[in-house]
Amino acid sequence: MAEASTQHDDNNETKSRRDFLLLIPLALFASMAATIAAAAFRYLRPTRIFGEAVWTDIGPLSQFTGARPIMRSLETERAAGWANMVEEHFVFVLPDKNYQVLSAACPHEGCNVIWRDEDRNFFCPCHDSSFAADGSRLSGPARRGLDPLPSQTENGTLKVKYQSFVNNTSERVVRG
Amino acid sequence: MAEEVDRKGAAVWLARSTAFDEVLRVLVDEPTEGFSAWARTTAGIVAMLLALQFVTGALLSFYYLPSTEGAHTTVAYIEKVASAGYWFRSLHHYGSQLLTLFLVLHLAQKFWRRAYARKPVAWIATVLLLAFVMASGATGYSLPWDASAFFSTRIGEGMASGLPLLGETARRWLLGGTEISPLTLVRLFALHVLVVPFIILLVVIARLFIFREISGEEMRRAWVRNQFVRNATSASVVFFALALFATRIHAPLGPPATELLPGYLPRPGAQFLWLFQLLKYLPGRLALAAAAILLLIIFMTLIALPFLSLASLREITGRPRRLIGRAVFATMLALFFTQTNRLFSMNRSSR
Repeated sequence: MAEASTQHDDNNETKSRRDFLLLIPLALFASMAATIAAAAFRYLRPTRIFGEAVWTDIGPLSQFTGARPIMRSLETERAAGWANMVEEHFVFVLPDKNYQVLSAACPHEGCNVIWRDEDRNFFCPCHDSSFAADGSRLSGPARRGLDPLPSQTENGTLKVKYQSFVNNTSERVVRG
Repeated sequence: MAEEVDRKGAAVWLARSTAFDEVLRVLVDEPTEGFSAWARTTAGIVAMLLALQFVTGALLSFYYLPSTEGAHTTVAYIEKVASAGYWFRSLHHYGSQLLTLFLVLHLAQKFWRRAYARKPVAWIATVLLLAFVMASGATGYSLPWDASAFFSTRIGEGMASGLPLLGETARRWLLGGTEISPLTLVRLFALHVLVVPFIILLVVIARLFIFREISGEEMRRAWVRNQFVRNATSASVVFFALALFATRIHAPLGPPATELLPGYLPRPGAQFLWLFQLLKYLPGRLALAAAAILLLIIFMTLIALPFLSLASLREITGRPRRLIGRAVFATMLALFFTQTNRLFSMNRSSR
């Protein structure tokens, strides 16, 4: 300030003082807003959805016979914040492919595919992707075949570990 | 004209392209200095707290669910799990009580400067704000659907039924049925987050943009600038005090309304403690009716004040009896706040 007064006249000095004074409320508002914003960022930050893939029974091996894929449904349970999510998923068991289990979720956008006996292929009703009886891609917008799921047989019961995969990629990436 | 030359950049743009100057002219009453000028920063504090209620309310609504199954669970989640959730809830909870306090102080200083006569619309807007902020507090108190919420709903129900003539109708419309039910919670939620805030915004907008009140004296820019700095200073002092307070003191959350234990002692928010205390002195069913009617009378009188032009009021605040008036006025305010504070501390220690 002392330096300024030697260079400027009184009028200019009071003016710059007033301009400086106006910075105070602006700085105060900014600090209040920043305090709230910093906490709000932490508060609204997306939560992790908890729930590990677990082995789920999908039925005794003796049920899975014949030459066509057999559809089964299973439930998974996950925790999202305060909520418990129970979700139903569909899988296809291929009896003639050593009981391989395929996820019914279309790798394009995730609709559930259906098995068409007359054409002997899987067909997605959403965007017309089709897949061969072993799950490999035949036609349509899907960029990979149907996703195989880890499965095992224990005491004559077929078990599967349900996973979901990222949509619309050519390589398989487990979601989450 | 010198003032015009004085302004530059953003200020000129604001003056030319917005109604900001008009708004300022409507807002600003006759300039005062010293203590009076600082007393008037209750305006800035009220504006800050109001904004804070809107922001923290919006943040809470990101997790809150207005259902009897979800309300207590989601509030407990905000309180215990979500990062800084307890802080926002505490800010919202105690902020609403502070807002009521500062609105009362704001009215008190307006009353003292006889601003209600000079700027009746500003006065009425402040009274309406106080009424709707209290309505907001009353409806908000029920939202966590904990044990206190249940009793606060009971009290609200009783007060509604105490209204003359249409008491029972008012009660049923408030509850959404003949009893407190899940419908009641959704109703109170809609009132709290949609209807009342909308009315509060309307009142603020009406105050800022619709009604013009030009004071006799020309507005002085230097004063406005200084007052702006004072307002921001007071507002930030209150904000950071509340912000620190809220990091330490959690907003109360009782057991879920469904797991009520006998002997549970529900307490209202600080802004309703006087009413809570009043109900202890009034007998039976009459109490809630009297409380409802008393609230009506208080607000009607405050709204009518600018039009009453009471000579005796002028004498209380005018010379030469100013000293006595000042003493009585200050004593009344002090009594009200110390008593509220006493009850408030008692409640906190008994929790």
